[in-house]
Amino acid sequence: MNYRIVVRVLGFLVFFVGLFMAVPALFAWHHRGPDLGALLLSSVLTMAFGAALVLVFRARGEILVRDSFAIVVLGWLLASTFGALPFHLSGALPSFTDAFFESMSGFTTTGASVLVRVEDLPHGLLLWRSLTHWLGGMGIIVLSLAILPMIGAGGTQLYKVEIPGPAPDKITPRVRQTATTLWGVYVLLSGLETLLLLLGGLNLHEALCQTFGTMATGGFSTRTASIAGFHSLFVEAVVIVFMLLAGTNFSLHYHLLRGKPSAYWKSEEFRFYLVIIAVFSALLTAQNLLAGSYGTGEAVRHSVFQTVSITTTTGFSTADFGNWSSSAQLILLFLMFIGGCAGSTGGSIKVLRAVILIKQGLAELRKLLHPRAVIPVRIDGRTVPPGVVINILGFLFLYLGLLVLSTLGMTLMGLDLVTSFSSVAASIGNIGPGLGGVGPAANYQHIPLAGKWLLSFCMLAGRLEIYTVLVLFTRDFWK
Amino acid sequence: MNLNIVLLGLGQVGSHLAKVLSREQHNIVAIDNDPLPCREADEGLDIKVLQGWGSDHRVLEEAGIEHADMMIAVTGDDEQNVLACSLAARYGVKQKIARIRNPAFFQNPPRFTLADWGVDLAIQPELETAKEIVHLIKRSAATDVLEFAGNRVQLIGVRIDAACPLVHKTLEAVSREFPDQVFRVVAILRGAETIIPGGNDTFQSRDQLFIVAATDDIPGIIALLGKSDEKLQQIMILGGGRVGRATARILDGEKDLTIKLIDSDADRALALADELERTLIIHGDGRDFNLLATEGVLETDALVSATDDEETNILTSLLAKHLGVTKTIALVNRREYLPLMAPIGVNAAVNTNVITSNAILRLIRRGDVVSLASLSGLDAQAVEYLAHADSRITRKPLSRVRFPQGAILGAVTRGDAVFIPVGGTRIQPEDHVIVFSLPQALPDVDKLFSK
Repeated sequence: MNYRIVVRVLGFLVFFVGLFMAVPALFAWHHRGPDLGALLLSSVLTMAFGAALVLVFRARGEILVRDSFAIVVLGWLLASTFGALPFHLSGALPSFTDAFFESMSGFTTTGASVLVRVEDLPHGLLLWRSLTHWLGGMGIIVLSLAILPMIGAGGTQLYKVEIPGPAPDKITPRVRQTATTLWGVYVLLSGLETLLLLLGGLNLHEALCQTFGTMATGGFSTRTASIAGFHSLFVEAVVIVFMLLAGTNFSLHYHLLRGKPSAYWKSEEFRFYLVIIAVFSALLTAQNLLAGSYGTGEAVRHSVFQTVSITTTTGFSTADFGNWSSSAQLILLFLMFIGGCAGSTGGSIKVLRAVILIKQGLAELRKLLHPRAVIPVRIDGRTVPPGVVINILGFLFLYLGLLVLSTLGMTLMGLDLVTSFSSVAASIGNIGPGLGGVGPAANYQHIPLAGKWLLSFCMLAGRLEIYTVLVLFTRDFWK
Repeated sequence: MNLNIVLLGLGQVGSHLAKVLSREQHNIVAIDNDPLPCREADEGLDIKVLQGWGSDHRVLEEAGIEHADMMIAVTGDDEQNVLACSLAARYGVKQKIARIRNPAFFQNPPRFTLADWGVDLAIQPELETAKEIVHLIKRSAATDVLEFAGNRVQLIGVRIDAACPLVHKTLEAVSREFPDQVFRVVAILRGAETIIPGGNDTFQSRDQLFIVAATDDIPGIIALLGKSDEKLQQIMILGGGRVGRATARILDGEKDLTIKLIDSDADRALALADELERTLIIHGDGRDFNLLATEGVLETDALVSATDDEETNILTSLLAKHLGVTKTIALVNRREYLPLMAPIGVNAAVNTNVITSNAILRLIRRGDVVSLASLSGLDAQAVEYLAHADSRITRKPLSRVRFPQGAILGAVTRGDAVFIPVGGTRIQPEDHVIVFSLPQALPDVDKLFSK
């Protein structure tokens, strides 16, 4: 491994994180908040550390595959560590574990919070909390690829490691263009949502925070009651639409901007994504109507919002689905395992993987009847290489394996089964709220110390799609 | 200006082009039907790779053919290359370059030309190779010959030995000793290492020097190196494949040369005999020592080994060298072998893929920069820059410009004049400057010349 170049790139990354910390400091200064000092200090410390790494480690050369895994995983760990500084230094979260958990949950766009009352946090920290979502959503590595005139071919590796999906594709020939384009689309959509939320009566601070939470499919809100706290159908509608957009493959948005809206309908994954949301919204509405706790309008409103929120792995809520019927909760739990589209900011297993696995499963059935038949799995009319299918199967196995082992770990800490399982599922899937003790009305404050670290690990593994993180634990990697 | 280039074919030529062009910040979308090179290119280069056929319009559209400035078709299949260019023409692509191997596409006089099918420029690898072989025959002392600036400047490779009077002297001492000989050593290949030399580097026995000079000055420089550029008259060519045939065709017209071509295929020998007037065609195995002896290999000045089997080419070259042939030239298409050729005693090696890549690279301008050539067996590259009034390089005399390590100025073309720059030279706006550089130094050289 080329340690010098790895450290140098990490230095750039940390510097950027520090730079972005200055933004909430502005808000803190404007509101004369008590968090100004902590934010400024964290920002300066972080930038200084990053700059020091960049200045000390002068290196040239190519980033190889191995280096790119190290850069991405260590980059995310460092970002989360330095991102925890404002929470910790301001005294808002005196325990560093809590601060790190909150920061990791932010960057990985999970949205699981240890805060009991979100409103207690000053403006600056709230914005920083949501900003970590936004940075992590499209990816800090992809952002630095767009900003840094970085090492050409090695950049492609970094891009592929960070962008979610089974076989990420560049939308333009050069990786820097691709990164710039993706971030451009991201910024554009974010601007649009902020504008709409401002029209909906939110102030700039709240509009930005909700936007960051939505576009990154994160889920941190500025209210303890989440989106329900705004009591506005308009806000909910805007958030639903933008959650849907954020959970879509961003290259489709890029095609729209290039005047090819047909790309949406041509994408099998996108069609399946819409079908899932439509079907499960209907199912959930029916469940809620049967349970009789809502009127028709209310039932549709809450069911659709929760379905979209969980499927896109955002984790906003407009109702305490912890009180819903078991079957309704089971539907939501199931949705936690599908997630957004590949190449979106959404987490979890991804619609594309689900589609491919379903098709592969059906192909196996046909093969039982025609043992010598060659049945390719096709997506958008093109055969998926068998290697990719196997890669997905391996991914699923490791995903579920990590889920089971981590759930075991949580139960060993004395948590009940529903809380254990759903907290792990919500963490690996980067969703946020789970069921039981970590439901939308509750928080992660009461989770034991070790549990918070375990869940932080799950969030990182989920965001970087398991393989990337686990490869660092193989012996071959360090040879 | 970065070009949008659709590159068809990721073979030896295609992948080399992809590497050089993407490093020059062009936007490359490469298409190949074979998954393996696709994967390698996708992992190793900053380009977009599509697996599929270049004759498939859907693949071309996905590659963004509508917005492409250039199509480079270098698959091993002539017809696919032509078809891809033809399709590209319909999408309005301005420049279409195809690699065409089959001479049947170039009938004389032409009834239909390739331009009718949308091919703007056809690169014939074997013809380009034959041209280079002819250069090497004419410059008998050289291992490499490349021409720049309309052949007013040449780059030659020369391997020196202990008999060379310059050995153990520093470059600076040599230039002080021979102030009238204007030349520049732009690279030294010592073992497997490419050195971009400075004034304090010394010449060593068994170095392969790469020297740039005005074409007219080259004979003097060769004499200075203790070599002589004797005229080679007795030429023997082994193998009447495309390269051998094209070489023979070029040389056939030169009355003062005696040319013999040996080919083992009876039908091909007959066809060659029909086509070539003065060349003596011999049917037989080029590895047959008796045959070579009968046909006067001992009196031969130059032996061109151009059979389809490169190991045979290398061995027959060595055998000929052993028998006292002045110059041996071998066709070696495996890039990995090239650095070995000079040390083991083959005078010159030509590589069709390197020559083809170079021929194509010369056609592609990135704003004011054009890559002229990659030197075979070397890491270094020749790049031509156009200097601007506000480029850093034009602000001070060269001795006061901090030139990046691993790069060196070769020659300057100013209007009609060509000269080799020295420390006191000040590059002026509109000068065309040929720079030799290791790949890693290129970005820094770019900065010197950028506006």
